[in-house]
Parts: sequence; C-alpha cells; structure tokens
Amino acid sequence: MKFALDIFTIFAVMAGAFFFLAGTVGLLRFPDPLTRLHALTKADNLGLGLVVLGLLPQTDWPLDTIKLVAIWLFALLAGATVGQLMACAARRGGVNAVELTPSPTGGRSGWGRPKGSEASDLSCPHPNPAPLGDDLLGSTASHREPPK
Amino acid sequence: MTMPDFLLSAAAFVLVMVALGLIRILRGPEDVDRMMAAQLLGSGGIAALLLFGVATEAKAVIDVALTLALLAAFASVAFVQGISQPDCDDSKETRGE
Repeated sequence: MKFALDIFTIFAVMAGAFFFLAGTVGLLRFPDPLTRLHALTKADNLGLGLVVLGLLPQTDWPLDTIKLVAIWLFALLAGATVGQLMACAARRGGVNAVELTPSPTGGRSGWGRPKGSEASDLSCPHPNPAPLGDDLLGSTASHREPPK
Repeated sequence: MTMPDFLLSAAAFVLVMVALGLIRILRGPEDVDRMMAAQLLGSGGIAALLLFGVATEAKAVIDVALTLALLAAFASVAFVQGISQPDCDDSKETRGE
C-alpha cells in the first residue's frame, strides 16, 4: 500500500512539474497577452493542483492534508479572479495600452476587436467611467444593453 | 532514490522553470506580461515550498506557502487596480471622492 501511494506521488508530482514546464514555455513563446495568460493559468491551476494531489499521501492525515487542499483551493480562487482582471486589463489597455490587432507578427487578427472599434461587447468593465451617480448594479445593467 | 530526494529535485525543477519564466519580465512588451511572469513566480513558489516542506517534514514551510499564496494574489490585484486607475469602475471608492 505504501509502495502504491509512493508511485502515485511520483506520477502526480511529475505531471505537475510538466504543467509548470508547459506554462513557462507558453509564457515565453506565445504571441500575445491573452494566450500567455491561458498558458499561465494552466500552470497555476493544474500544475499546483497535481503537485498538491501528489503530496497528499505523504502528509499526516487530518491537519496537514486539509491545509494543503485549502492552499490549492485558495490558489484556484485567486487564479480565477486575477486571470479575469488581467484579461480585462490586457484587452482594455491600461497605462501602456496593448495593441491587440494588428499584432506585430501578423496573421493573428481573427479574434481581436478591430482597432479603434468600440469595446461594448466585452464582458469587462466598460472603459469609459460610469457617471458617479450610478451604483455598481446600475452600471452593470447599462453595460448589458445591446450596442447602439 | 528516496522519496524526499525525489520531492526535493521536483522542487528544484519547478524553481528552474519559474526562473526561466522570469525572462518574460525582461522582454515585456507590456506591463501585463511582466505581471503574468510574477504570478507564475507566485504559484511556482507555492509548489516548490510545498514540495520542500513535505520532503523535509518541516511543517512551518507549508504555512509559508499559504502566506505566499495570499501575497501573490494581493500583488496581482494591486497591479490591476493601479494599471486601470482612471477608468476602472471598481476604483471609484479609492479615488478619494
């Protein structure tokens, strides 16, 4: 039984390390911010998840095991939130505006919004600031209106 | 090769991968890309700390990993808040109006 659990640990940790390798390669090689974010979140969630899964048989049962699972759940929550926020920042353009199309390598212009068009179809917060009288619910409701 | 040796070498491998990912901070081209490399450093650091803590049976290192998870999340949220201050709906409260 101990031997089987050790084999499980070895395979799961190796799979997690492979996902970190894939995340690094994707972060270095992918052409634009959203694809890099895609590769990064795979490394975040699956890589850390598989490492934690592999470490579970090696820990003492109640406290350490639950703590490891809690760390992974927190990383999932934070990764989902931060990934959404960063995708918004990348598409909307922040201080250094990201020019999504045309990309410098050319040829990857099918998915981005045309340059200069309105961003009203995004699910991100609208680039123009809402009037200060609006509460968050009101600005969300007005955001869902069809574009004029 | 015993189990702690394997876990320590896996931790070293993850750290090398994360360090290679930091090349993205040098190359940019945007601040968002640089922050993504920092986020990968956060999660890779958590994984390496967990591997190290279980391999050496140092229980406190697992708490360090938990703290690093918290700080990495705060760093990314603070970056997004800072990069989109003039036009972000969520930053309305923090503009002092």
